[in-house]
Parts: sequence; C-alpha cells; structure tokens
Amino acid sequence: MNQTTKNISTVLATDCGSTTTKAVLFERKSEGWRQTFRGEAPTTVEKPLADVTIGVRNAFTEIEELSGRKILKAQVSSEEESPILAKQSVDDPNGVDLYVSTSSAGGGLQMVVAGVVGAMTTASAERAALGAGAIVMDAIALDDNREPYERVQKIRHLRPDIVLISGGVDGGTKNHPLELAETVLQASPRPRFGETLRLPVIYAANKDTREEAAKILAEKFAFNPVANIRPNLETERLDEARDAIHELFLHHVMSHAPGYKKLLGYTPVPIIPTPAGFGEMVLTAAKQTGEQILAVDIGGATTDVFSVFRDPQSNEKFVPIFNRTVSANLGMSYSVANVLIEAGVENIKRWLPLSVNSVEIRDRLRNKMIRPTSIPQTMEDLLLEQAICREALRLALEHHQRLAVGLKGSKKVRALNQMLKDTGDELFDLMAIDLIIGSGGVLSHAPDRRSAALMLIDAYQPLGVTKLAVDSIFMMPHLGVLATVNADAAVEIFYRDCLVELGTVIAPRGEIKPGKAAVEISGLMATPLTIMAGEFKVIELASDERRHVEIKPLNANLDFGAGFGKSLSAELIGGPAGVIIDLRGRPLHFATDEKTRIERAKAVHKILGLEV
Amino acid sequence: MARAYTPALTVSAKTKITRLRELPLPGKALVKLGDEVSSEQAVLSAELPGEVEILKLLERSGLDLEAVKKSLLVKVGDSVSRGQTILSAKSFFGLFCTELTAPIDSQVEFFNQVNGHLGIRGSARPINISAYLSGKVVGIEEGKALNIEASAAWIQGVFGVGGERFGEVLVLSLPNDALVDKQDLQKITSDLKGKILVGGRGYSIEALREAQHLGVSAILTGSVNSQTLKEFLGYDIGVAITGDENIPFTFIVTEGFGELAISERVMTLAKKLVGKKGCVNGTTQVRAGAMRPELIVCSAGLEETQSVGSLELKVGATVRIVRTPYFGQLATVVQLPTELEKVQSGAIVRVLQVQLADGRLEVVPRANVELV
Repeated sequence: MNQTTKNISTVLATDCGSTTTKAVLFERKSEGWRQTFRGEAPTTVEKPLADVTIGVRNAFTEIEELSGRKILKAQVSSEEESPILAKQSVDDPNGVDLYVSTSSAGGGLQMVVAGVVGAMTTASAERAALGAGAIVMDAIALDDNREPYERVQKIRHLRPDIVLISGGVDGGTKNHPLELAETVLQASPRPRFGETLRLPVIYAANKDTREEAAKILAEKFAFNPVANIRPNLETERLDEARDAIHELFLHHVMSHAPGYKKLLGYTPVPIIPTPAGFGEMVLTAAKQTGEQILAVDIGGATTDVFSVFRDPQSNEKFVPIFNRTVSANLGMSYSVANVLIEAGVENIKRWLPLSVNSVEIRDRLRNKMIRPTSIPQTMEDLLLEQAICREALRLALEHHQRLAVGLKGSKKVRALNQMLKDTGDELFDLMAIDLIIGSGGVLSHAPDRRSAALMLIDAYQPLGVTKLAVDSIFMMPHLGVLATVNADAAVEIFYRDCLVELGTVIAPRGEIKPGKAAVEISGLMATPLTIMAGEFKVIELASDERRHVEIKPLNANLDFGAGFGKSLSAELIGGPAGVIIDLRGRPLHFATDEKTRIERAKAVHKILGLEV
Repeated sequence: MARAYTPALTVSAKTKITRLRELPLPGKALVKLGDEVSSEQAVLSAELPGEVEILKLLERSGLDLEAVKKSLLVKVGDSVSRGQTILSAKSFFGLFCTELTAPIDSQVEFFNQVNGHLGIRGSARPINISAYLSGKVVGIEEGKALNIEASAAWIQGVFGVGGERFGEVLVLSLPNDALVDKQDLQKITSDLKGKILVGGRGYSIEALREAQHLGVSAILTGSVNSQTLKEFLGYDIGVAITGDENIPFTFIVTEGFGELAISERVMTLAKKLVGKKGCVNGTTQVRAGAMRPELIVCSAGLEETQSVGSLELKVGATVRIVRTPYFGQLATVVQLPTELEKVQSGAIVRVLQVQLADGRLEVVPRANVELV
C-alpha cells in the first residue's frame, strides 16, 4: 500500500469493537476529505471463530458491496499476506492507499495498577493507564484499607492484560514498592489471552528498587522496568509508562489475541485501543480549533469521558491538557443495572416526565441488561433509557473530575498541596468548556436530536456558553487513528461528516431568586431578550446559522463566563435544539413532591418541542 | 449485518450438544479421543502452582536486615519442609537463640535484600475438570482442552446465577404462573436433596431459603423479582456476567425479571425429563461470546424436535416479545414489512406485525422479539 501520507486519497479504517467491527471508507474528493461508505459485521474474536480478521473482512465486503470499490484481493498466497488490495494509481477505482484500525475487542485493554499512596502514586499509575486507553480493573494502594490477603485475592480473581506498579519517589521508600511486587507475585494473575504468555508487568516505581523487583518478578512475568512515574513529589512523568503500555498492548497482548497477529500485518500504522483513537480525535480537534472540549462515549458496558483544557501554566497560545477516564461499569445495556445501583432509583426517576413504579424500573432495566439489543418501543421506555443515560453521564463525569488524566507533555509539575487533594479538580472547569460532544447509541441515535441536547445539558449542567454536538455514526476512533498519520484529513472529515451540531446552551454560575430578571441577550432576536431566573427558554436557530450575541447579566450574582455581573460577547451555533438559555440554576433543583417534579420535567420537554 | 432479531433461546427434546472443557493452565487429558464419559467424571487435570507466602523475617525474628542475611539458612531454589529451620541466630554471646521454621512444605522463591522478606511457594495442588456432559470425547487439544459431544435434551434460560451442578429433574405440580412458596416445597413428599426443580413463575424469598435448607441442586423457573434476587444473593447484580456466585444451588430463569410464567414449551419438555439426571449451569454472559444458562439431560431418549436455531423469522412463526408494552407475551408473526417504520418512541426501525394471544394485531420492532 502507498504509505506516503501526502499522496493518499483512499483510507480504509476499522474499529474492532467487543460486539461489532465497524469499517468506514475515507476518500479525498474534489471538495476535500469525506467519509463515504460504512459497513459492519459481528466481531469474531471469540470462539468458535476466534479470528478477528474474519469479522474485519466481512465488514470490508459490506463496504465493497455498497461502494462498488474492490477492496479485497481475489486470492492471497498465504494466511499471513494482507488481503487488502492496494491502489495502483490515484485514479484507480479499486483498492485503498492505507488501512488503519483501533480495537476494543475482547473488552479492550484491561489493567490492574498499584501504588503506595492512593492519592499519589496509585492515582498517577491510574492516570497513565487510563491515558493509554486502558480500563482500570482495580487500583491497588497500600493505604486502601484492604488487608494484604484481600489485595492478593482481588488481583488473582482478575485477569488483566498488563499490571502497572508504581510507588516511592527516586531515592525514597524501597520497602513499599517491593511489597507491591511481592503482592503481584503472590496473586500471580493469569493473562486473558495466551495460556503460555507471561503477564506483562510494567515497573514504574522508585528506580533504586528495580533490581530487587526484577528478582521477585522477572521469572514469572514479562518484567518491564520504566522511568518512575513519580520521580519526586512535585513531578508526574507518565510518558514512558504510557509508551510501554502501548508497546506491550501492541506486541504482547494483541499479538496473543485471536487473529491479531494477522491483523497487525494488514497495516503499517500501530493499532491503538478504541478509546485512545477517540481521545486522539478529541485532542486533534482541540489543537486545530483552540477549543476546550468535553466528550463522552456512552456504550453498552462502559462510559468514556475525555476533556481537553488549555494548560493554565503555559504562556503559549494553546497547550492542551488532555484527560481521559473510563467508567468500566456504567453503560446502557450490559451494565445498565449497575447504573441503577450506583445512581439509585430515585435519581433516575427525577428526570422522568411521568410516573413509573420503582419496582417496575428495577425489573425493566434488568430485562434490558439480559436482552441488550432490544430497543424502546414506547415513549415511556425511551424516556426511562434517557433518564438512565443522564445518570450514567453524571456519574462518569464525577469519576472524570475525581481523576483527570494528564497525558500531554512528558513532564507536568504540580504543587504538593494540589497533589494531595483531588488532582482532577484543579484541571476541570465546566465554565471553560467550549464544546460538548456526545457519542454512543443513546445520544447519536436519539430519535429526536433535541433530546440528545437535553440529556447532555441535564447530565453535565454546563456553565457559560457551550456548544453541543453528537458523533453522527461513531467514527471518532477511526478518525483518531487516521489523525496519527494525517491530522488534516481527520479534522476535515470530523467537521464535515462526523460532528452533528445540536445547538448552544447558555447558563450562568450563581443563583438568584426565581422570577427576577437575570440576563439580557442582544443579537439573537430583533430586540434584546430578557430572561428571568428559573426559566428554561429555547430560541430556534437553524443548523447552518450562527449568531454573534452580547450577553449581559442583570444581576451581579450571575457569571456567564466573563466574571460575576460582567457582560461578554459570544458566537452561538444553531442546530435542532437551537439556542437554549438555561436559568434553572446550578446545580439543578428538584421538587420533593413527585407531582410537581413531573410537571416541571414535562414543561422542559415541551419547551424543547419534545413529546412526552 | 447484525441480525434484526435475537436468536431464540433453545428448548429442544433432542439435539447434539458439544461443550468445550478447558484447563485454566497447561495440564493433561485423562481420557482419549472417542472415549465415552459420564458427566461427573474427571476428564482433565492440571497442577495449580502453590501459592506464595511471604515471611517477613525482620518482624518475625526481631533481627536487623544484616543479621537476617547472615542467619538465613536457605537460598532461592531450595526445597524446604514444614518445620525445617530456615533462620538461626545466636545473640548475647550465644546465650539466646532465634530460630524460624518453614510453615509449609515449599520452595524458596525469592529473598528480598531490601526488606528481608522471604517468599516461599507451597506445593502444587491438583485440579480436575469434569466432563459436564455424559457423552463422547470428540476432540482433544493436548494438555489444554477437549470437546465432549452428547445427544441431549436442552433447555436454555435467559439469566442465571451459580455454576455447574448435577441432579435429578423434578417438575413442580403447580400452574405455570404460580409463585412458588415455602409451603409448596414443604408439601412435596419426595426428598428434594440434589434435585433440579422446574416450574412456577418465580420463587418467594422464603421458598428460596427453604430450597437451600432442603439441599436442592438447582431451580429453573419463569422469572425473578429484582428485590428477591438481591435478598437471596445478599447484593444487587449490576452487570450481566454471572456464574461465580457462592450460592447453595444454581438458579435459572427462562423468561426474565418480573412476574412471568414459565413457558409452556419449557414445562412440556421438562415433564418428559422427570427422574432423569441432568446438568445445569447458571453462567450468563450477555456480552460478546454470549453464554446463557442451561439445563441439559444427556441421552434423554426423546424424539428429535425441530431445531430452533434453523428457524427463520417468517409469517406464521411464533415469537416472544421481550420489551414493553407487550413484554413476555407470545405472538404469531402476521407480516414482515421490508420498509422501516416509525414506532411510538420515534425510533425508525425494522418492524413486524404480530397477533397476540388475545387476537389483537400489533406492530413491534424486530429487535424486540425472540423466535420460539
């Protein structure tokens, strides 16, 4: 295949998901890069097929049928030969220039991390793992209030792909990181794939303990010492550990997963975990536009949250700080009952514009759990799913705020007092967010796009002026891996074919008595618009329209982004939801009696034009 | 393309079933290709490496690190037996002697020069994997796994808890929509120990506790209320991955959560299996590589029924609706429109028209039916 990225004009990309392998075709047309065709097939990493490439080829076949472009070679000489047909010239109607892929098949990259102090080295290890696209199955800390035997039992029960051990600054404690190495040896967890595979252990602890740790672990595990992720108290250094995770995922874990050895031979570009692809696209878009972005991908089993903020310590125009978390058991089908458990049935009911019995909710959601492919037929059922979605998004964001992941930059310096408190808080500010992107079936395929906007607003309760959008057909992971070789192409497709703008929400920080004049907005309508506290107002603005507005708080206790009582100018985008001025207050208040609560929820739905 | 409907859960009087039996680590097969095996017979075995025990020598001996290093009598790789002295130190001009002994038969795995921890690995433990099915060995992956094939009656449930168990099938003399209570079990005169009970729309928590008391091996029933399941397990199930629960019997539902009568087709078959020995597994995994719980009776001696897996979704087929507003109802397919249709929720999906048992004609998404 032609690998000169400047000359490429046809790229085939797949995401090998747990259930479905999604293939998309990207082509350079006269107007620029576009996503043109899409095909999918069941993922075949599990038995009896146990070969991921079968599903990949099936997805290619679907694209072939839809596009008329021949993608697969008529025959291959050996199992190892790539079946993908290479383009012979720029105008060749068959073949592709490049194939790229992400993967979360078999549940994605699953890791156990360990550190000495939960809030410090364990948190750093967790950030390194999450930033590399892993699901953290457990985060062990010597101060986690578990007995040593409980830690051993827990690790033994799990079957991680990789273990990451941190602990101790360089020149600091030796006993503790070695104790963690001993714990891992005691537990001796078995890898998920490959009975003969020695489980990779990345040792990113006090460098003075490497030799001793090797004596404990090297015989039974694939021992990989890397630079200490906490070389001193003020420095967090995640890059080497993160690179080691990617390297081990690619060459150690994935090469043992069924069929991946062949798949790796199809592409010259490293296959990356699906969330890493998604995150790469979010980061690339932020870099290109300078926008601060919050993105979420809510799936059947997990919810991934990504954020990109401008580094406040940087003097340059836009140095991004990228954060990613995954909430492993917050999802809309396989783990929907866990959302119910974590949120509580009352928190789900508070979003419903109708009355549903709690017992009915519990049973109905568990039936969804055991029959995950079923879809809501009634409006009541849809509203229940959307209520669950709000809670899953809310819980996942709380998780994200607790553990924002520093990914960019090889070195990040934090003040000690900041490290000892929740490190995510200092990075995460909803007021700073310019754009929220939702992805996943419940958001991307909501029967009415306006309800997707309302779910994002209710769950995240944005502050200031925030644009809302959804991923049209779940292609952000594909674009992310494309961005690693051609960022411009990825960004073009992202804005043309991936991002569906829903509208803009305006909401203040601070609160005043309901009914009092709160804000005056000029430039949105023919005359300035005054909105009262407590109101939820929608102004229609079509998808292709923009408005430059002046937002003037009418009360010194309200901040719309420029400071309390201060006016600001803003560019608003339109969309199916238009411009939403949300003065219900932050956090949202809910009536204690069910009847009033339902009436208010109904009113909000009706204002947006949604059926209830 | 993904299927537009959920594959049926099988209820078959006679079908060929193959089960893969796997070792968690390399071992050996105890049977040969072509051997006839019985369900509880061990067919694979392996040696599970012993667990590592950490001996904190500094704390145990009261010596400092250097003294421990000097007094240690064993080195990495040594085999030690229980009671063997592994550290001996004299102090106060030889007046006091500190000795530490090995707590188990083991091998020295490591000695940590930094903290004085000694790691010893206990003896390997044998583990055996049973055949699960009474049938024939049809494939062997040496040292790793084998396939057992059997001709059997097979009932799949939709959700279960608890792992593999064996027992004799006993059908409850109750209506399909009856809630099984404690008294219902107490009225049964035969010994319920080791039995697989089939029937009812569900069990009360008291009945589940009574089943435990009576030593029941497994329960197959229509449905379960979320609250009852929580009370029985002691916790809420949040993710659809089960099978490892530490519970006294395996519990399987055939219809779902709520109050749903066990289906007639399950009961019809179960009645033919009364008194026969079966195997059950409550393991449920709804994600990729889906596993549903099951009751299997090998060599049940019944006539073959239609193979459900080969059934097509076509006009006249019987389906079960798995989502509100008709959840749990059986219906007959009347029409299969090819065009996408908008349903009440606003979703535009592939649908089918069905006739419910009461004669009403209704439209439901294809994704919300299962073939039966």
